[in-house]
Amino acid sequence: MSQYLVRRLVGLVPVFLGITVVSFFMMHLAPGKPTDAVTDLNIKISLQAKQQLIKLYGLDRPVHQQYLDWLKRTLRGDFGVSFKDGRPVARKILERIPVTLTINALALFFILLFSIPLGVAGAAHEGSGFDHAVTLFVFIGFALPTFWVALLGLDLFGVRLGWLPVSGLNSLWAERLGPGPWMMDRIWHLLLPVGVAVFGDLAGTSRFTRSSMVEALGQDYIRTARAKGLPERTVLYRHALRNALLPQITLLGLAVPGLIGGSVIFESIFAIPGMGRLFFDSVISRDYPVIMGILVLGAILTLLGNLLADIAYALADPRIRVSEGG
Amino acid sequence: MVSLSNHERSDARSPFDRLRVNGNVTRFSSFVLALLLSASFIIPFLIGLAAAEEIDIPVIGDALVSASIGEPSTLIPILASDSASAEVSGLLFNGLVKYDPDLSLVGDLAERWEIRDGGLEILFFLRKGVRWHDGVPFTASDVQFTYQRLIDPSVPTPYRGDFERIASLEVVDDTTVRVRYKEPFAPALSSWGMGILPKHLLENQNLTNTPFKERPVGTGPFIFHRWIRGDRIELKANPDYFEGRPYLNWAVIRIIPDQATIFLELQARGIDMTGLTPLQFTRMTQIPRFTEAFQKFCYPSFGYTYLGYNLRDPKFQDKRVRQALNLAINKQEILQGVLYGLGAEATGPFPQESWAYDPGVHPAPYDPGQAKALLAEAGWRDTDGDGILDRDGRPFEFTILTNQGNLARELTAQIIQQQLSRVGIRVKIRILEWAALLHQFIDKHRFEAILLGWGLSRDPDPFDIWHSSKTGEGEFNFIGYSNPEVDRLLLEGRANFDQEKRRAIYWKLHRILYEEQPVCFLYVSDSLPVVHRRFQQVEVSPLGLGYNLIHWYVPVSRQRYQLS
Amino acid sequence: MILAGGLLLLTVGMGALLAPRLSPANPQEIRLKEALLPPSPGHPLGTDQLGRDVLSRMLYGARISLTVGFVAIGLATVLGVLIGAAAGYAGGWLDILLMRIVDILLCFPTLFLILAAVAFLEPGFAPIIGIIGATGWMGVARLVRAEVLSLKERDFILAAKVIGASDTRILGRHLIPNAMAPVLVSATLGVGAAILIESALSFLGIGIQPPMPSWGNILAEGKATLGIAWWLTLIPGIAIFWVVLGCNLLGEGLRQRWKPQ
Repeated sequence: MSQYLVRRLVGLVPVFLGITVVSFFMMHLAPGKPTDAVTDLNIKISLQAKQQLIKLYGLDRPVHQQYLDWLKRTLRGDFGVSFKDGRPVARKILERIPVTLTINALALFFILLFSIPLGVAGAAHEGSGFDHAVTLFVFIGFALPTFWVALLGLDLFGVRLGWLPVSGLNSLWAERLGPGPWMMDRIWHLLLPVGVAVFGDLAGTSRFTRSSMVEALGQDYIRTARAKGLPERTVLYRHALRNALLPQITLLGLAVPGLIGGSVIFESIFAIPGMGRLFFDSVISRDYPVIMGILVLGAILTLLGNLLADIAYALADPRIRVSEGG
Repeated sequence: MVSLSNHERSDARSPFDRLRVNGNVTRFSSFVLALLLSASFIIPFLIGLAAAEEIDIPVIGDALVSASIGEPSTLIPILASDSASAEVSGLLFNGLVKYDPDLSLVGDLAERWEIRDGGLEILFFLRKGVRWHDGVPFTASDVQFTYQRLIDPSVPTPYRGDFERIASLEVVDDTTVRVRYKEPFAPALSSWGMGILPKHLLENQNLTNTPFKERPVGTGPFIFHRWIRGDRIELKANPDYFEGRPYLNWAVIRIIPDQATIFLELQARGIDMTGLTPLQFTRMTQIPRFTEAFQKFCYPSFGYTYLGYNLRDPKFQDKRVRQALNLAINKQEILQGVLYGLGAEATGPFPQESWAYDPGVHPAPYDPGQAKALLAEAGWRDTDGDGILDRDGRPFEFTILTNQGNLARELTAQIIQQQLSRVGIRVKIRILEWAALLHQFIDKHRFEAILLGWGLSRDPDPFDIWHSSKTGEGEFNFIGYSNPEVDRLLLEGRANFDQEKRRAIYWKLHRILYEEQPVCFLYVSDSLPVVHRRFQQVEVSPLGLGYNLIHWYVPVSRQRYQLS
Repeated sequence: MILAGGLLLLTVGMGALLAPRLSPANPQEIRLKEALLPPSPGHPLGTDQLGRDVLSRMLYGARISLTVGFVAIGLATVLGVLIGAAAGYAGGWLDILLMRIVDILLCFPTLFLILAAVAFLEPGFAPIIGIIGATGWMGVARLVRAEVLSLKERDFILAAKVIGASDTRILGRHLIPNAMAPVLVSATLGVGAAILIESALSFLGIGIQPPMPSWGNILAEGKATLGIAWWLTLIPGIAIFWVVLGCNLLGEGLRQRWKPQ
């Protein structure tokens, strides 16, 4: 196993480099230069000033040279500074991670908490009224646009009822209240965003769980287990679910980079300073160093997520031999 | 600042010239849930006891919480090119001059100035006794230092152009600065509205990564307190401000990137001030609950939206065709449909409040019949009966490009499309992301028509937009307009310091541009800010709202945030 | 279930097909005097900000949204199933190679692919379907691969091998059908997602351009008027829900009907 791990990790290095090359060149291929957005077509800003900026940023040199410089710096652990505001890229990313991670981890936790039992129950009572109701509910959550649910929630709970705050992560001057109340205030602000995220994403996990559970419940060993007179709960959660979780492992692996990702629409509506907004703003302003920083982080997490998923398959299903395949 | 605004935020909906704020605060709620979970329970402490008071006497206290759609990229004025940055840094820093409410230049850090030698020399006499927020006195060497940074090639400032016209800048004494120009340049004076930086804090520092960026120190009415990235900026009143201490203790700028959320936050009383969309203004704020709490304002914005033609395209080279398009586009319909009547027809390159605007230029009435006649005169007739005009076997069709993220422009393009189809012109629309539009299509002149807007500066000089020398790749006369008389007027207009003479020049320019129709001038939208009613002395001027922010106050009984 | 799902999809499909006959109005005709009218007999689903009939726009929009949703996701699903099954079944270097390609593509900056496409391509159907199809198959591939890895050690597959069934037969008859459960779920959800992605692409200048309607565009344009015209966003939401539900029912039904093994 450890040999397998080492081999896999070593194998990731060229893949990682490949990703950075592709990303870097793709980024430069896209039309628009960092100076376009910074200058906002401001007629006070002369063409010469723009060219000066291009020189300052080193954008006048060949792309492959820019890439090599970037790679050298990055390998030294230096992600450079943002074109937009001159702040270190690492710092810009790090200040966004805690809140993004908090919201995504909370959302993921609640999604799994609700959707797996919903999926199991749906499969156990396949075709029942309950099954249909759950199906409808999760698909409503999925099909209704996030911004619609979010704005409606804000209007109802934030404006009409006044129970929850409309936006932001904390009330103004909340820090003057001391750490305890500050924490309560933070939780109060997170209720709606996390709730909306969970509602929108229940469909995925619960449908996958349900469909693999239906599959698993049709297998011989379940019949055997039932014949042995095991309690239904044990049959469902011990025997069937264990086998039904395989797709979930894949999906969780794919979801790992999502933990530090975010939707710009979602974060904009709740005025949350998360990674989604940072990435989107960086793309719009062609802030190359920040974009590359985020892409690198995303790539590392994607690769790790898939690696973990591959390992987890082997643990979950002893029939899969790790020696084989990637 | 003249800027071609790419987002609705900086076009139709950017109401505040110096300040744009709005946000979310704790509020008292009787619900148990809210009480348990929230910080609301502190509100009783924050609300002061109402005392007998005179409402007309300004008192110190309270905070103004406003919302900005975009986050400033920097608070250092010479680096700030976006409107969000300029608005906040304008509260922290002062220039040597500023505009007063009737749009004439008055002293700011300069007490007065003399223009000598036919405009070749400006002598600034600085205000005495001004101190930086850290207590160090402001002197002429700060002005010199700022100038040196502005022309330093290693400083990524977008404003170098205006300052490269300076031949020399000399510190005469602590309160006198002599600036000599290479040639007379009328907009020079207004370029000294640029925020002045403190030499003692920035000398020998790299402006792009100095700690000063995180803690800017200026001379302005507000002192930087803190900046929670992506969330808000908190500013504190400057007790020693040279024009007097602001009555408000705090100005908080919350960053809320979504217009719908800003509006909800306003209704939840989380913010005190913001700009509305025309739809919100006309259809969503008529209820008493809203009007009792907020005061709405409406005044023309400093900018216009236009349909620009690529004049290198043979279709658009005939003046009659451009005039016909102007007659065939019903601006009143656009104003009603897109802005709900909250705007005015544009007739030229200057805002109506400006002295450069010739009130004698009247917009031509909508007249599709006359438009068809003019098109026929120019050879465009529907010879094959397909409903589309053609000439030499080629149909009259073109694509309008506009930028993503500006609903007003998307809607305008669609209305124009329908209007032009009535005279037999087929229009396609393409919406593009800003940087791609700019870099790939505008800079390279790869377009037939574009629907964009120009934001305008206080000084009317529009040289870069219309002069024939500015038609190169990446320059601002991207429509490729060239007219020797216009060129001459533009040069004269910027070389002359006499406002009366400049007025005559720009009035003439205005008339020529309307007659020639190098672009179809569409509309000037209104700025539509709202401010909570507890703020007193809120005034609108052609400069917008907030120019007199330091005079705003809240009577004691109505103060909301009692924090020092 | 097949019937119910098919019926749901058939109704929207017919609506799209018969849009010219069913539409009460020209979906592109602007009537500013009738802007933002709530649903009424004249405009059963109300009007939008430019006074266009929403029902007509939804019907015409269905043509675009359904095509994009089904073709692009169909493409992605087929690609994902084939690649995933090949990787899982073959194992060894092919698996390594394919999965590393998946890794790379998962990290690919799609947004920049779109922006680059904006510069070089005219807006239209093909780029949208190409982009959604080309960037949507990796998840499916990993799902199928995982299923196949597990299935191929099962008795019935080993048995098939013993009796000398060919690899294509084992894959086509036994492995892929048995791995379809998560694929159907992913395709169902994918159709809904693709309809929304289309509108995002339109905004970046590569998708369907105004005044042509698509469900995604109607939805996105409705955001600005959410406070006074709820129908502009609710109706496309319901339509997407309808399609997703239809896909789900149909998928479930098909799976039950052809229970493999």
